[in-house]
Amino acid sequence: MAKLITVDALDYVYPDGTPALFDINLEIAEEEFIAFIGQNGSGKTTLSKCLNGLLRPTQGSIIVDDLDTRQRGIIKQLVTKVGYVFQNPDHQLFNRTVWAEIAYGPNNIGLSQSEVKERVIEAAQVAGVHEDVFDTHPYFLDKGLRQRVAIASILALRPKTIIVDEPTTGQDVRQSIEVMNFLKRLRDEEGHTIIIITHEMRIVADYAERTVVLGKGRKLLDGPTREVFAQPEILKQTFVEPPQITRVGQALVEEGLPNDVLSVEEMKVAFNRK
Amino acid sequence: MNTETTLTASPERAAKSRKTLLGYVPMVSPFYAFHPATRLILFIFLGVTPLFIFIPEMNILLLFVNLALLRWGKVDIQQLKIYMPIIFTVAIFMFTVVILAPGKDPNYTPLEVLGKTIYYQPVFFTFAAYWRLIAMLFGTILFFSTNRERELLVGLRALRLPFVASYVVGLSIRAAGMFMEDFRTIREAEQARGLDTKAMRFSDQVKLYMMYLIPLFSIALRRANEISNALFARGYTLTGRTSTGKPREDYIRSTYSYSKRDFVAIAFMIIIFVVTGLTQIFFNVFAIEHSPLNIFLRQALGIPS
Repeated sequence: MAKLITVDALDYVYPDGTPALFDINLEIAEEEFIAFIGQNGSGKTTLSKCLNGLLRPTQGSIIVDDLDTRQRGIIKQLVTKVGYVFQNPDHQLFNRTVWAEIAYGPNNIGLSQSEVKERVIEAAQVAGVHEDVFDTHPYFLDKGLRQRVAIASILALRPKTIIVDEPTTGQDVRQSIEVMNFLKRLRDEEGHTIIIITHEMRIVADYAERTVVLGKGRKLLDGPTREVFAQPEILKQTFVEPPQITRVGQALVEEGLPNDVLSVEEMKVAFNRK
Repeated sequence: MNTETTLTASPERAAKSRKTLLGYVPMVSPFYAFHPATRLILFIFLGVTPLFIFIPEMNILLLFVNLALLRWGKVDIQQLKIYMPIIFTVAIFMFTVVILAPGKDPNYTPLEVLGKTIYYQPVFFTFAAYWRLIAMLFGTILFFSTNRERELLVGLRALRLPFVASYVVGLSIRAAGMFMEDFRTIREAEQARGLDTKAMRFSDQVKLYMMYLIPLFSIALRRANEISNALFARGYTLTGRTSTGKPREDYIRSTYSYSKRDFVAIAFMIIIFVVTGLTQIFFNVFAIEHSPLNIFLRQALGIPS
């Protein structure tokens, strides 16, 4: 898979002098499904904002599809490479209709009206936003649909990489599964790279193939989710616990169970094998 | 798998300042040696004193006193750059109004400047009023750059402001901070969708600010509802008394105490304030007529006093 993003020795210090990221090295390829995990303040959101140019590296560099995020005036190009969906959809919905909301990004990058129309219809369709709500004010939609409109508004920019900050926060189980299946579809069918920032380890185990663990601004672990969850001692440093089913396996290693099961089905298989 | 490091205590992560409503409050500052009530009195002193002074040079001097205090208080002076647009916008607005609509007075002295007739007296009056405003603005910046909401609350309660009033002020300040935070996030969300405000016309920028109001007020209303429900759920009463009718214990006030330096500072400020007020009220010492710049310009332009 082709390389999309290269993060090289990234340091980020906030304007108040708080260092948020130290020496982060990362490579992200096409069609990956990655989770950034770690305790609050570990640097997940800061790293994500650096990836799409909202924050400029203090030291080090980020190259996105041959674009250096340190260059000034590059944001218009970057938003078509890396899309960022904010945690609270209410922070990113400010147009009077759902149509205007989804069309906002394409209008900003100077597309013609016919292209804007094409992209709005396409993004709405992919995100599951029905055209019946195109003339509705986004604030009259339920939270799940507001989240989809927020994602559609980013999809309309056709970024190869989509970062979704806390996609399941405040949603019930059904809505969470819907949003996550939708993101998986975006990766499987549309070929997007998906990065999620989350505290829900079950979601990480079910969907992310690769997991990056951050703690106090440093990258602690980076690898296949299964291998990451098999390192509970390192995860503890950033107050992350593997999913319960993984912990059951880890507690019963001496009984011959594997320490890296990610689902009940896998546990069943391991148990039967034993 | 890539295992980078194990975590150790990172002293370098200690921040130099803490984010507040008006920017950043330094983590360490000589101001913290004073009781919050003393700091609040300094704010009132720096905010009210310019009202007695109409000599622009003195208000400019007061502005420098504010700057010196900001520096002494370890506030990053670079952060003051964010107030430049306000300072220039106020100047442009005030001088445009007074040049285009100076009012009518037979005593006004007309001057020809670049083919346009302006009147000396209202322009100089505006100049004096402008510096008075700026001095007051910097007093406010100083206070909010060296105090947090908690210290404001302690200051207000120490000055015997009713509990409910101090609570309302505290919540308003906090709400304003959250409002600013939401505003920043919305701006980031726009940037994430390729909006380039620098390339926009002024009228479009104004429209954009109108657009912000919808999410901002919607979020603020939802939050206000949540906060009021949370207060209600925890037995809050408007009287500041407990549900049994006893006066409420004021924990945050108990964590601060006065020292000798507080009494000296308060006495110093009260003396200067009273002397300034009385000399202005009874002797009109700080009137605009006594401004050395005004006297110089009148002489240079041949305008009778």
